[in-house]
Amino acid sequence: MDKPTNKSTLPIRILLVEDNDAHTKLILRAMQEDRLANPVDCVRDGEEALDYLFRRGAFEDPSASPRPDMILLDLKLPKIDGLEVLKTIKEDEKLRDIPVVVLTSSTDARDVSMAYRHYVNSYISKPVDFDKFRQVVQELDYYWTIFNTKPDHKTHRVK
Amino acid sequence: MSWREAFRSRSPLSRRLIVWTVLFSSAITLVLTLFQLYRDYRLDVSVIESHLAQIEKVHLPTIAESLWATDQSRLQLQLEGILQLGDMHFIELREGDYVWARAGWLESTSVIRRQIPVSYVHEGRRQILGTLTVVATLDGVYRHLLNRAVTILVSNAIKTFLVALFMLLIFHRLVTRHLRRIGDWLARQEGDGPPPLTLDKTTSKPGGDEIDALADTLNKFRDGQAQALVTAATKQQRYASLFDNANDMIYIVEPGSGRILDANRRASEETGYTHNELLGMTVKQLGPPEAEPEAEAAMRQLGEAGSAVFERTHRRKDGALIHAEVSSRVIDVEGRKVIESFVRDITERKQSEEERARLFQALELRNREMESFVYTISHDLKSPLITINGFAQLLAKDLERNDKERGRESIEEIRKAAEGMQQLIEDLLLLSRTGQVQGEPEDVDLHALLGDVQARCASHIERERATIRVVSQLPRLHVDRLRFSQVLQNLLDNGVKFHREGLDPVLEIGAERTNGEARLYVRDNGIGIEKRYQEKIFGLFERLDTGREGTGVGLTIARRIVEQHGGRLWVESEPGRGSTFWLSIPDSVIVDDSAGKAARDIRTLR
Repeated sequence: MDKPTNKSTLPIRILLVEDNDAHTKLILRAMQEDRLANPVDCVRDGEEALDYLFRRGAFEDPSASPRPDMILLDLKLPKIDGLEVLKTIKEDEKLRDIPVVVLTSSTDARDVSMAYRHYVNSYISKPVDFDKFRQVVQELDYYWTIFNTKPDHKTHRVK
Repeated sequence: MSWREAFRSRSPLSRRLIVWTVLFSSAITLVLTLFQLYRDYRLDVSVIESHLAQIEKVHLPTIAESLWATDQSRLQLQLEGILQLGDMHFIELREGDYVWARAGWLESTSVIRRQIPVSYVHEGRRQILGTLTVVATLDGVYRHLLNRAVTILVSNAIKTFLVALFMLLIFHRLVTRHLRRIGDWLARQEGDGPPPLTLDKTTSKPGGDEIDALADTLNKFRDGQAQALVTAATKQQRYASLFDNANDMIYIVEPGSGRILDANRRASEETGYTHNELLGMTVKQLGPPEAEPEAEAAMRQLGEAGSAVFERTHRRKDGALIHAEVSSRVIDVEGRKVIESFVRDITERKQSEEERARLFQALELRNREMESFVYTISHDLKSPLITINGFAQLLAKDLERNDKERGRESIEEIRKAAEGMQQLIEDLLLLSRTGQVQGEPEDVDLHALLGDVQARCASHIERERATIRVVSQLPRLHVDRLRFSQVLQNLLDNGVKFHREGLDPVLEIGAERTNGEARLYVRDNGIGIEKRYQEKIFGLFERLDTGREGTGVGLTIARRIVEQHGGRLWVESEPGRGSTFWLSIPDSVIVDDSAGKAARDIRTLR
């Protein structure tokens, strides 16, 4: 395990929890457009997300489930919904440090307040406007890479 | 009864009036008579005195002359002449012891005796010659007085008698007979009472006399009394009428024991007990044993406050329970305290209240469902728009760069999103239609219906190399054909769609009867569903695997249709082994005619 020379220059790793394939593609394309070279792991429902984070089921192998630096979480998810996933993450000793950004098309005030009640780090409505959407992703990346020191997670890194 | 007795016993007032009148009149008469007699006596005596004075004045000088002349015979004549005067009884002329003359005789004891000296004037000298003794008897006076007394007394007695008789008559006419009439009339006041009192008399002046006033007062009293009687009777009658015809049950109950003293007709009708049966019961026995605490609490409140309104359960004779609203109060009936209870059957009201509460609850549920429905729709409709918008912008960039590859990809994403959205909207329409009544229910042969559905899904079945097997006789159902076929199609589609990798789907369709309930089932050998998601899959837009086609509306629609037919739809499943979708069918929609042999079969299945 080599020591990273400069933490801040390393692009943060993102876990994207999104059931809508088109949206996933859109997010990935947006990142490409802005030359954001963040590694992104994608899961399609709440159950998969938790399996990934807790290394269960299909994600038992740690190499298949590197610890993300940030979680982009959709609220409306199959099987286990986003709020439940958020709650589980924030209740877990090891996972609660990972910033979670709720990213959803819902603008319902109740969703917002529920998300904040479960200690969401940020809440962003999926903008219908593509540029804004891209901007959000970009800002998130900058935010964590420039102003924050990433937690040391190199052991989870896939080389 | 003799007149006297009648007079005495029936007219004591008249008798006493007469007695007192006679006594008083007699006393007055007596006094007046005595006075009169005394005056007469004095008058008679004064007449005698005047005679004596006349003798002295007229006769004495001649007697003195005759004596002087000593003419004895003349003297005798003269004395006898004097004796002729009224009431003279005896006269004697004496000179010393010598009696010159004497007339009459001395018999009577009641006399007036007068001795008059006889003097004669001779040669200027007066000489006393003798004494003349004159005795006048009072016998005449007394006789006269007696006569007068008798006359006065007799006349007065007659007068008094006549007056008394007259008074009696008048008193009778004016007073006694009216009094008797009033008395008789009053004696008849019992019961309905006599007609108004009328007196057999003419009323002299306006307003009448005291008797009229009395009669008037009595009549007024009678009217009042009659009015009071009528009022009381009316009240009584009114109460009785209310009691008998009331729409509420009315019980008269003994405090303490709770014994039913009386109950109205309605009480018998409502409880099914006869009047006599009710009279042998206590109020506690009117309710089921478990309702006794409420009855006791009500009794306590009644004892403290004197009245109570409460609800309690009554049980009819046939065992049916009545929800009753009871309004009780303690009343005083002829000095005895009893409880009067009005009991109203509010079972229906209670039921409708409950029904209303149930509907309200259902409505609230529907509202919440609606809210979450709208929320879900807005989210799921927004999703493809985000996609379209996003890729449209990307497409613009692709065009700028002349990146045909990327451009085609973007267009494909846009097309898929639009397609997905169209499907979503169509499914939503379908879902909304299941909320409405569509076709009339008709007799549907499930075998035939299943054939239709299979034909419709033929390409899907073929593509997935699925086998559909009907493993038991299916019943004929009286249902909405189109919608029921929708249910079967959705279940079939699901069974084929969620097959296990590398395993051809096999679906079994059958019917059975479990716990007396007719059920259909669709069993597959697919991927199965985890226990915790088995209810979630029926939710709107809920998809466990978004990688597969579909909008997450199918099972929602299927369940709604089944529920509208009075059944239930649920799943039993084990991941990796397959799922069984169960459909309960209410007996009411199972056709049980001669053609519906299947229905009988399904009924006998255990």
